[in-house]
Amino acid sequence: MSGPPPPPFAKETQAFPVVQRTSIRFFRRITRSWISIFRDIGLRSYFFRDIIRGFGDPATYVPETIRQMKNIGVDSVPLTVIVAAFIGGVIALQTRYQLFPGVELSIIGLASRLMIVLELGPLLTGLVLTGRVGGRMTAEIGTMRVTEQIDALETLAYDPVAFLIVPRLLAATFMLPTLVILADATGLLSAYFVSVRLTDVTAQDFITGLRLGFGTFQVVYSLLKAMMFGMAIALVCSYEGYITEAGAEGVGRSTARAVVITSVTVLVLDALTAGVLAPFLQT
Amino acid sequence: MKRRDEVTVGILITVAVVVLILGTLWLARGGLKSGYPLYTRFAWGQNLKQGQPVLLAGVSVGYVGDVNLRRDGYLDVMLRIDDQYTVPKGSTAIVKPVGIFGDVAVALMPPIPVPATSYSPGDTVPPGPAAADIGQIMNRVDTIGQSVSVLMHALQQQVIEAGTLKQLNRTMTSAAALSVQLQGVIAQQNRNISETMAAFRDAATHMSNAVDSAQLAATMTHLRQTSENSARLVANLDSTNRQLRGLLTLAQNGNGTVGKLLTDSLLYSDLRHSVQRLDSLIADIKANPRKYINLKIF
Repeated sequence: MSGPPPPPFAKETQAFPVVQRTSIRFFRRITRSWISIFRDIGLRSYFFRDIIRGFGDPATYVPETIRQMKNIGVDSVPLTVIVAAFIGGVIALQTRYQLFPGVELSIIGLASRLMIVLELGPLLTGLVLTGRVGGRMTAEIGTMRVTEQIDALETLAYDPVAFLIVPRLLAATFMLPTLVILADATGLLSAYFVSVRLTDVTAQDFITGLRLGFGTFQVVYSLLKAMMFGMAIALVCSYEGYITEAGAEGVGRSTARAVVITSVTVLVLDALTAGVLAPFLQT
Repeated sequence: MKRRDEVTVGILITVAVVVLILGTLWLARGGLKSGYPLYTRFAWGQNLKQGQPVLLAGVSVGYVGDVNLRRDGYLDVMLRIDDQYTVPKGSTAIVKPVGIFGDVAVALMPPIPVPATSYSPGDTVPPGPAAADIGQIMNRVDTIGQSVSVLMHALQQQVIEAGTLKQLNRTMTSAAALSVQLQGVIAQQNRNISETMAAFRDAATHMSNAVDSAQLAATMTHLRQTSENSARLVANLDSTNRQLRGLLTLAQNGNGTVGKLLTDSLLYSDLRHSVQRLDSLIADIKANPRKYINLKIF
């Protein structure tokens, strides 16, 4: 004697009791999350592998690198200089007005140099370029992806990574330090003029503080941070554009995600750099 | 288009490299000119850093070029002096605190009078006596602060908590009231004294009017006579005194009857013997009255 046939369930788990079904769904979700994480790591590893392989094709990326250096570096000079000038001036003013009476005024030059060269010059340049350069990078590559231009490059036997990613990576890695040098110089000049013109700090006081305890490693530290920020901007934003899907909406989503991830990455790198290299800054 | 990109990128990188090199040199060496080196040596713990200013008689003439740590407790310090300045021979170098944050400068102290010769590049400037650093000053300030704190605590306990302040307030209030009362008393006394002086002045005026000069002259004559009589009396007393002293001298020397009476010990013995015999006689009379008193009537 056989019973009635089981009802036709849409999924196999629906045949289980509720408790078992919930547990199975829970563990399945966790497993999918981990699989997704490992898949992302794997995809990025492939991406890095392709970048490294792309370095072997200089004929493809060198001409494009110059163009990207102009886009990333030269075109960003006005924005970088304006931001650095205002930051330098504000630092000098704030430092002067927060000092209590009796403090040597040369501390303003020292504080301006330390804040601009060690921290705010690279960091603000990195964050500003994340929005201006990184967003543009993701949008460009993402658009090429959704309009199948990247597929066309592959069809023409072009290495898309060597043509699109490597030039941007090289350009960002070298142009960020260049911009940071200009930002540091502009910030210090702005701090000098604001201090001397708008406050009671003398030029001698400011210059004395500016040179106090200076070590060349401070400049190296600033440039190292800038290089790391440039690499982070190029890698994250290029990758997010490279994996863009779902048309124009996907491009917008990728661009927003790229800017957010790059900003957080820049801040994390800044903290890590300070934690690792700051002890070597003591003179 | 491509050529233009290359040019602009090249210009940007060149400018950045020039700014980097010149800026770093300027910050590290105090200017694009290196100046000439002088050397000195300080004990450990001077808080010296590259780039700190070098002062000659209070004027910035260079910067600390390099600081090398030695293992024997000293620091070899290279000073970069601007070419336009010379350091007088015999100057000494000290580390001088600047400000309150522990910053220091190297101060070159020229001798007085300033000699005509100067140190040559590469010479060593001898270190001078160390000035009190900010740590010592702060320690001193800390000690003073602790003393003040203890003092304030004691004052707090003695003056405020123990009620001395209230008592002091009460005392001050009482003193103020007392002062007011004293002022009243003094004013009253002042008036009394003024009145007394006026009365005295009136009395003196009346007396001068009332006293007769003839009576006064007679009184003065009587007083003079009394004084003369007193002088005579004193002279007589003196004479009597001398006579008595002479008599006493004679008596002490055993002259005369009185002298013999006073100085003759035999007489004294006889008197004692007689008194004893009289005592025994009286005792015998008391014991045997019939032996001596025999009353017969009829």
